[in-house]
Amino acid sequence: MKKRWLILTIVLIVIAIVLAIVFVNLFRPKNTQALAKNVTSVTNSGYLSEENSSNKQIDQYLELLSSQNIEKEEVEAFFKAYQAFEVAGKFFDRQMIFSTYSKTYQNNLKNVQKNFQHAQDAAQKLENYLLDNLEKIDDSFVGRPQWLVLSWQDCKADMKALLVYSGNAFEALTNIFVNSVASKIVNNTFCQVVLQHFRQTAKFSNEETLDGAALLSFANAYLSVEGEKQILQHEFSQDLQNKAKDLQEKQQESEFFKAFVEGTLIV
Amino acid sequence: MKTKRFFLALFLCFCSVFTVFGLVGCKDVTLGTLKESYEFLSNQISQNSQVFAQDGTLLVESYGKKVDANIIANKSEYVELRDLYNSTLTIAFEYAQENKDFILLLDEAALNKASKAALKTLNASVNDFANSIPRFVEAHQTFVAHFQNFSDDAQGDASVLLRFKKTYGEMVKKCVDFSSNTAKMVESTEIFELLKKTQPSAADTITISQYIRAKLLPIFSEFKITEIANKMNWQLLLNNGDAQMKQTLQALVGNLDTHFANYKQTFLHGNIKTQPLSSEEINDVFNLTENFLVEMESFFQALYGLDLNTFASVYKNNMKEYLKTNQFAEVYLQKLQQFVNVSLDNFIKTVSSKLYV
Repeated sequence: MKKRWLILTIVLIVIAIVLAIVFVNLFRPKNTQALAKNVTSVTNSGYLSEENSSNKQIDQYLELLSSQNIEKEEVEAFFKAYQAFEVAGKFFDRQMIFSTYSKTYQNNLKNVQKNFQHAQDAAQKLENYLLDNLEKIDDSFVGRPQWLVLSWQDCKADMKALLVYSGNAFEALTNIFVNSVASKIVNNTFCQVVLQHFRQTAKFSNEETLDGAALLSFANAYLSVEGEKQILQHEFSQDLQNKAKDLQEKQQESEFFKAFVEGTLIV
Repeated sequence: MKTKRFFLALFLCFCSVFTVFGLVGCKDVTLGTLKESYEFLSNQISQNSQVFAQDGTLLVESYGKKVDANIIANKSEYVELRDLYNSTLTIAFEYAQENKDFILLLDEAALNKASKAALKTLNASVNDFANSIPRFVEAHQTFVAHFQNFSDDAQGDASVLLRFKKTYGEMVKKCVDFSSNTAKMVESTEIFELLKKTQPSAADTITISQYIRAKLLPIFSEFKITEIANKMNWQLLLNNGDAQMKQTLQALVGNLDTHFANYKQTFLHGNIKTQPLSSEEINDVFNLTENFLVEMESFFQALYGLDLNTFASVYKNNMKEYLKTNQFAEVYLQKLQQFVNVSLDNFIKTVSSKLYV
């Protein structure tokens, strides 16, 4: 009899503990800071920050290649795409702390973190290569022009990897943004059109090219602090709402789709 | 036997704990309770009528000759008492008073779950505000008494003014909460859902405008009174840091002041459209307002997250240093700028063009 009571009490205690754990987890507010911390870290101190050592090394190297007319078109495309990602990174940095928890958030979080990490690794690899060859980058090095041509063959793959992984990260970030930022002042139809176009343009085409200049011009027009004002005007401007609707429905025929892509669409 | 009794007692203890948790918060607040709370508030005001204006508006009227002279003489820290504190208090109190009868005349039996919860919160905020009045009156008396001892040119002890503002700010915050909770109570009755579906009258346009006015007020009071003035003075915020940060903060505060002036001009002195709005126009206004209120939540998240008091007093407005402990500080500051400079400006202008002549 004693034993039966003891067993019954232990079972009840275990059930109470299990129920308590279940209820605590059910009602605990979901953490949406993980993504915001990741994006802030990448844009404030990671490879998308101008203060970051990898960023500085890569910038100097690409500027040097461009000034020496080495694969100028390709190098400038990559350089401008990198700068466009810096602008886009800051845009998402401004938004993600204000996102709410959603399934899309949970499903895409690891994707963002993983791709940013791969891009960071590619940037680090480039930095290490450039630091190992500092004396060859110096203009006193006799064989510098030839070395620069050969170095681009070494660096191009890592530079491309950096851009591809960044593009993947921004694709996942856009998915999260559209589904998790509650404010329609920011997450409005026009903003979604902007992000959709940025996402599409940030990918390498089948010809293995990326129109960096167009991407940077577009990013500056709509995703920079100044450009973002157009997004913020959307709810208050019938004109912009009509234009956003038109861009969504008839983008191939719309007379201002070209202006939109060029970043000259003014509210 | 002893062991059996012990475990039985433990089991009953668990049961009673669950029962207590279940019963906590079950005490209902009725409209009768709310009426009593309103009466308590009314008594507090009339018992302290030497401080508040006699015409029924809750406006701190007299500070005595010396302080009044400083206000008239345009010394900014005194002018704030009339411009910001008094006007915020009056706007908040007026809205709450205007809707008191509507709320008390509601059909208690027909109150839905949201209304009952809103009623409970409203009742608590009425009492909070009422209880803050005696503390304010005491601080007011101390403040005025101090400055009576000085000649016309003397400033007196600046810390006395700061302490008074802190207590005044705490009372204003309670009054703004009272006003906001009144707005939530009105909203919970679904009267606005009805207005969206029917042809609203000119009086309905006024109701909507007053509701929007009440919802916007915390933007100004939370920033300029609660978040800053309750914890520190303006000099810490506006005179620390490098030239660029000083300029940023001064511009932010300056723009907020401008919008407060526009807000008062629009919602207090504007000419409401006498021609009733169409159902479509009403829906536009509500959609815009609902979207703006969601963005307003981000503004408050940024304001509290930035913690201007810590930024100014501990880190002397040095963002680089502050980022080491508050990694989102810059993001929060950008949100404040974006909200004040763009979204708030757009909202006030758009709503005023829709509701006012």
